[in-house]
Amino acid sequence: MSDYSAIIVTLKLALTTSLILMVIGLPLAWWLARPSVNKLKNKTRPIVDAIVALPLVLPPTVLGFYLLIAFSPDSWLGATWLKLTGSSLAFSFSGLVIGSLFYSLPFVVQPLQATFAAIPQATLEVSRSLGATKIQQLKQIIFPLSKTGLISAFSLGFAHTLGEFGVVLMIGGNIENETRVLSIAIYDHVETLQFNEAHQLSIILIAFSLALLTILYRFKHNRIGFS
Amino acid sequence: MLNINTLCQFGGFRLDVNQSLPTNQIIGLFGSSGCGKSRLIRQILGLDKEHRLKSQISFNKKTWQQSNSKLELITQSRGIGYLPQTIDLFPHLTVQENILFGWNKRASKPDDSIINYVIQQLDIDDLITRHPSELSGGQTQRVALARAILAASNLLLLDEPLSAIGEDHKPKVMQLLKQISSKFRLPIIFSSHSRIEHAFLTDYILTFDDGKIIQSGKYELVANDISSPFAQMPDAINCIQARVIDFETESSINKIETKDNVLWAGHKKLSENSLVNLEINAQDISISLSPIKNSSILNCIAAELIAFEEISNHQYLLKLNFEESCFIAFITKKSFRELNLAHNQKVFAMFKSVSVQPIAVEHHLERN
Repeated sequence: MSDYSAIIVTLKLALTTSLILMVIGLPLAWWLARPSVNKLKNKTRPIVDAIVALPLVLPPTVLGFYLLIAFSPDSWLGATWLKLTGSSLAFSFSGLVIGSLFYSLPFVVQPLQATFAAIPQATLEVSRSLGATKIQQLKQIIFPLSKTGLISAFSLGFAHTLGEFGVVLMIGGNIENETRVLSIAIYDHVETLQFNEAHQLSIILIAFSLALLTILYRFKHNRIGFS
Repeated sequence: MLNINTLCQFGGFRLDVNQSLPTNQIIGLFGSSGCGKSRLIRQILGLDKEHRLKSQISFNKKTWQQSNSKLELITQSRGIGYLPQTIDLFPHLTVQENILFGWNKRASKPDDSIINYVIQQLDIDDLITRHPSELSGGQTQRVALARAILAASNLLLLDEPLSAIGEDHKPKVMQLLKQISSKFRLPIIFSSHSRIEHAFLTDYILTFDDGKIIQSGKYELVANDISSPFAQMPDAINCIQARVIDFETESSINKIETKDNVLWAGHKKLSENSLVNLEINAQDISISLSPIKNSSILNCIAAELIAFEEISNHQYLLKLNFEESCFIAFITKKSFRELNLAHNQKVFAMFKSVSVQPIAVEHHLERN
């Protein structure tokens, strides 16, 4: 039963995180990807790029450690959250979502950035000259041309959140139905020498991730030349 | 009128144009590459904002952009059909969807029949279900041209519109542009470094050099003014209107007549009685004081020398009157001296039939 709830919590976490990241990631990736002559933008862009990429190189424990501090009721974030919701951020599902947003950010932003950067400036200029409003440009040009990138970004964000461990361990703990995700459940089984259970969950995770990535890459190869 | 007063800085290059242009004809931008033609077109579109030092553009008394005011008519609302130099069809849309992209967004549209007409004239009927990746360079340019034409409600801006179009399609495309311009009273601004295209299309010409307009005016006036920078450029081309009489099959050559002369040109059969424009490079014309017989040069016409100018230390430019029009020839300074040429002298202009490029002005295009 507890393993089942761990699967549900994991899926819920991955879905919430990747959806929110798509919303945040789209404008952020567009800003990072598109060329500009604005000096301030050109100066700040490498810094923002580096911040987005940071979770790729940093041990999750470092991220988790600082998030834990930020979540404590002594910090402004933890205090504000407590005031607004009446509950603490640390060791809560919301806390996990915030942690995952940081942790999976590069996996969503970078594919989007690559796909947006590949749209020629001339395409956008021509669509403007042909009378397309900003919304029409987005719907009729940018989204269709970035389809592969959008799907990649969402899938990678989702798949990467599924396998999250270090950050969850630091800020989420191990509360059933709330913060106990698959990777933690597997860790627990191994600690208590329940290898069969550990196998079951691990195989589910491998199979699911493999299937997701295979579908993603098949889609990518089929649409080569389009984005 | 299209009033342009713009000063833009692109690194070391400066575009400085202050010009009023008529909006009832075809305006040709002429000059070598990198002289500012495309940049001017982009200013009229409202692009390259960050490079503007000053830019005031108004179209038929409506302000499009003004440098000291934030008020600017956005590109989308200017009713411009734009063909960029590097063609960019939308790769995810079919040819048909590409062509109708701008048309569907137009506020005011003429009758739908123009769509089929443009598609037919540009010879893209068979391509409309394809995707851009399945098109050749020339096909791509024709599709992009159709898209621009159908999007243009106020103005059509074409940056090198014929550069990739094959020779066989060029006359039809040029004819279509002329018709579109007159039938819909649509002003067209196009850039080209080809004199043939200007000779055929341009009503009003702007000659560029290094970001500045060095000459502007009605095409005939500029082209026939031998002191003009346009006429003196070494690739000057003459354009003579003529009619095809018949095709001599045994020697594969067309017999073509002007008002008083018979000329020979083109080894491909042209339809009998059709109108053609004969393009002759000014470098390919030689001058003699008497008609030459027993020569391999087939074309020899009587003309009158009405003006000449020394254009370099070794070359003279001659302006000759032929029937009712003028044409230009370049000869060496040595020949000029030895022939002892003078004003109003009767001369004979000669050119080989291979130096004549006949361009058909097709009949069936007149139907609309």
